[in-house]
Amino acid sequence: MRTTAKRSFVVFLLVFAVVGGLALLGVRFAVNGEKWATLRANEHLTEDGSFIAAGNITDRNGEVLAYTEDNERVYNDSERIRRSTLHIVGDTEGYISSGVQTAYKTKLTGYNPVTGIYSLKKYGRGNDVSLTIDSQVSALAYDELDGKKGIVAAYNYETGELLCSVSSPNYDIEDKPSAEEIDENKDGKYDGIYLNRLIDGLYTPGSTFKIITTASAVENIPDISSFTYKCTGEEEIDGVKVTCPNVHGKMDFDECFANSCNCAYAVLSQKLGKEKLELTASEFGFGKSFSFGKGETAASKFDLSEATEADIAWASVGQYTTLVNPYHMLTVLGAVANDGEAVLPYAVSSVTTPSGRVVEKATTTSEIYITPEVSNTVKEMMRNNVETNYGDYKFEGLSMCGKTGTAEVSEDEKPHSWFMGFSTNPNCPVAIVVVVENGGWGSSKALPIASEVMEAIYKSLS
Amino acid sequence: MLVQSVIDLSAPYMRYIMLAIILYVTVRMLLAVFFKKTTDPVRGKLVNKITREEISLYDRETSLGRNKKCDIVLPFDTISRLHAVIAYRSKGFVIFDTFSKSGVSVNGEKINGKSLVHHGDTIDIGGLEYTLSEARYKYIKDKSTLIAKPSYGFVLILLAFFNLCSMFLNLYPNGEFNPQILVVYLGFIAIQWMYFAFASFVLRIHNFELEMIAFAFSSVGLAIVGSIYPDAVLKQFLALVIGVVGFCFLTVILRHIETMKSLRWVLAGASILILGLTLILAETTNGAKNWLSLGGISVQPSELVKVAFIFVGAVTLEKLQSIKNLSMYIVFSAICVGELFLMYDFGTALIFFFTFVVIAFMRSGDIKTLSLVCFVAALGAVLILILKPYVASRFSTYLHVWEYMDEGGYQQTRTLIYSASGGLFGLGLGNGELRNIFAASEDLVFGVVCEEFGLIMGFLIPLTYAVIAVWAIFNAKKTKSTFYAIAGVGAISMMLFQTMLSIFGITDLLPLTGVTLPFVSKGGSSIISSFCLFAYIKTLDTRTFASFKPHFEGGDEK
Repeated sequence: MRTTAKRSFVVFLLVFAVVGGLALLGVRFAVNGEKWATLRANEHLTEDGSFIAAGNITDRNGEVLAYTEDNERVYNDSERIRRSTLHIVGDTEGYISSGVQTAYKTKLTGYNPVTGIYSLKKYGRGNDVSLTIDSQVSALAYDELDGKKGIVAAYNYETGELLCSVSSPNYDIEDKPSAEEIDENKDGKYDGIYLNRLIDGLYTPGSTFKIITTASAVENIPDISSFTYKCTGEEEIDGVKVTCPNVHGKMDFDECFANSCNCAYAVLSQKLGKEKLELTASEFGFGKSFSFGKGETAASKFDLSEATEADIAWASVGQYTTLVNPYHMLTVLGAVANDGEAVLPYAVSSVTTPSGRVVEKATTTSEIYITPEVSNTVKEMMRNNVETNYGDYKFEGLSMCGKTGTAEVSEDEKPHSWFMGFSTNPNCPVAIVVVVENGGWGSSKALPIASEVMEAIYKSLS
Repeated sequence: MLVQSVIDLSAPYMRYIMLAIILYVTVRMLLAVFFKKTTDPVRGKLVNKITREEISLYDRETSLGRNKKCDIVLPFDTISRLHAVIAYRSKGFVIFDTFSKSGVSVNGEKINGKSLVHHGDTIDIGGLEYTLSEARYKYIKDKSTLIAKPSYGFVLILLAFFNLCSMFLNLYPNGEFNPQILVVYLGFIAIQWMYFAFASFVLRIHNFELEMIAFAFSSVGLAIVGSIYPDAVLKQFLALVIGVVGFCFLTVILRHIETMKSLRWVLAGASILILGLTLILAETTNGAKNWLSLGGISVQPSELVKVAFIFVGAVTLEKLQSIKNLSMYIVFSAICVGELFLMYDFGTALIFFFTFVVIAFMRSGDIKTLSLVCFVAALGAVLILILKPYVASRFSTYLHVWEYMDEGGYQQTRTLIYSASGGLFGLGLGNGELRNIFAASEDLVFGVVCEEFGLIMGFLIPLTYAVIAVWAIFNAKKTKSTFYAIAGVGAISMMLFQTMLSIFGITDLLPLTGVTLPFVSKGGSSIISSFCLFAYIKTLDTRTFASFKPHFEGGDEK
């Protein structure tokens, strides 16, 4: 009897197996529960394959950009707003991967390990997301782009709030083009339509890159303030001609930057050499990805490892193989505007449960790119560009600093039109990047758009 | 309309109430069953004629022999390794000669196998002479408990409240009043009270921990069945009634286990026959031939054979610790497991095999033979997987369910997704999505419990079975007979193992075999067998019989 009972201890093995298995299962639910519960296969969250569980998405002024009603996702009434905020708000199928509705899916469903997705069931919707975007300004930027491909992005370089980010081409989310339509289209109007060019875009920067070269010169050439150059329209470097569109004549360093003289910068690049240029570029964050939402931006590229002297000269004026990401360019402007410290842009200011509890609040993060001395010199020179060249009347009240760019992309296409600038008015600490793909001269396409958008932002902030 | 709006308003709170009730009942019952203090009455004494040394005899069987594993070790050359066993039965003490070399004599007469012994009789065990002295009183009631005895009436009221919640939540499937729901849930409440009254006054049982746990878990099951398959709720209810009746029936007949022993041949034969018939007559459903349709009622014979399987395995009283009659049990088990295998009901085959190993080990302690059996079984399993590759293909998604989310891993991934969606407290009965997936309230019921009642409830059920198993292990030595020890431990092992296959299979910790979760899953056969298996476990509770009809006949000192 005693032995028989004692032998029952073998059943402890089974008990241990069950308890151990349950512990493992519990750990798995704790670790992966969020991932599992927010999968698209979860029919609590989807309707006909579309993600409908999200709460309201509002802009900085409380304008509702998207909400769920009767198990359907509804967007803002205005097509201009829908299109201009498309890439930030995102879609419900997950094609626009950097969009809030995809990147913040977990947050939007209101999942938490204790109550699961119960609040979604209770309130019929998930958490609310407030964006830093100004939808009216975005709509204006969308108008200004006028269907051209490109990006208009502006952010507060002190707080990091992204105020405007309009990526084109875009589509109306209430009248989506079908997948076949997009695939079969040949005229290019849907090229990269799911990409947010702010995050995923990589462009030849053209003369806007001179901001970096200038900073490098200020940093590395001791007597740069006394630098003068006489432009004849061309400069031969290592047997290759670097050219300017006009003959600029005799200039000091400020004028070389204001006139965007390629020949002068070719000479400066010779003085700097590839190591110094590469060093400055990496200080400015080239080659680095930034996290945005739940994803990462494309990394800007500045690589002179196989460059000839002439290539270096072209690279110093933003040609050669140089490619830049618009989000990154915003941070470059932020660093110049902000004593060398680049505040990183973000688009989601807070996530709130339907019951009003804040579950996520944005915090300002920054990185130091350069010294305040260098940044202030570059800032003054960029200010000079607007005062003497582009015209302060285009940015009334903003004390604008800026640099245009005309980036050659190929022989049979018009160059990309660029403007990068920021306001030094303390009431409007905003930086802007405008790229109009194949838009031609920076001053003729990108600059007017920047002017309109900056004025609108100034108005909305004051 | 008013009723409906009241239900709608209170629905969000019901999930907490329902979870709290089951949690309270289960934990309270487990505490009560664990921390009870029972008396262990001395039923008599063996007094050595020369030395006057006394050996106390209890309710349970006492083994005597040279072997250190015996209850009473007699280290003399004339004593066999296991010489004799003395058992306490309703007629008085019985002594068994367990194939000893020198034999056992009572009042000078050599006994043949076994003999009744009375007060004052002289017993000769290998030359050692003892006098039997029976205790004055046969009936000793257990009294003190460490933790206050729970009020079963209060527990039943709580469970009634749980079932009323289920009833209200399920009363209007698709917005239309369903009178069946009303009848079934009120009926189930009534059954619980009727059992309580019957067991208290007729069976004279005074402790109901296991029954309350069974009622609690089957209430969860009935809530889910009523919610997902309102049409099947009546059938489930009838199965519950049969289950409770079966439980009572077994409790009664297990008290007279000595007289029931002969049943084992009948049950063994019937088991083999029923499974054989199923094999021949059943049509393949969901890849397994394990359903038998009898006049419109489909039963799963393997569930009912489980009950017989335990019985047959546990009947081994006098041949304690001997391997000799293990061979018959091996043959019987091999046939049962083989038949289940041929039905492609691998989950159940595995459950039977596991139970066989536990019971055979408890009976013989023969690790060598059992290792050989396990090896042969594993070899057989491998052979079948090689010869019939489509059997192996069933398990091909194991550990890769996320790669085959919409194919072979569909049920597992959905279970994980929706279990995670429910959080700790669930979304409330009726608010799940897993319910729409095939076999939701059978194989996937763990996921439905997690999604609608919460992970706490989901984990509570297997943990409760595990705790009962621990309790069974510690109580096995206190029971009156080896049969109870083996049957009780065998039954809870079977249920716990099945729970493990069910829960870990559907969550991809183990290959998916598609077995039911005891008491919770939909299915009449499964419910009935769960209740019957609980009757075996209940025999481990010494109070079950301590408080049984007192015997006053005989035993008084002359």
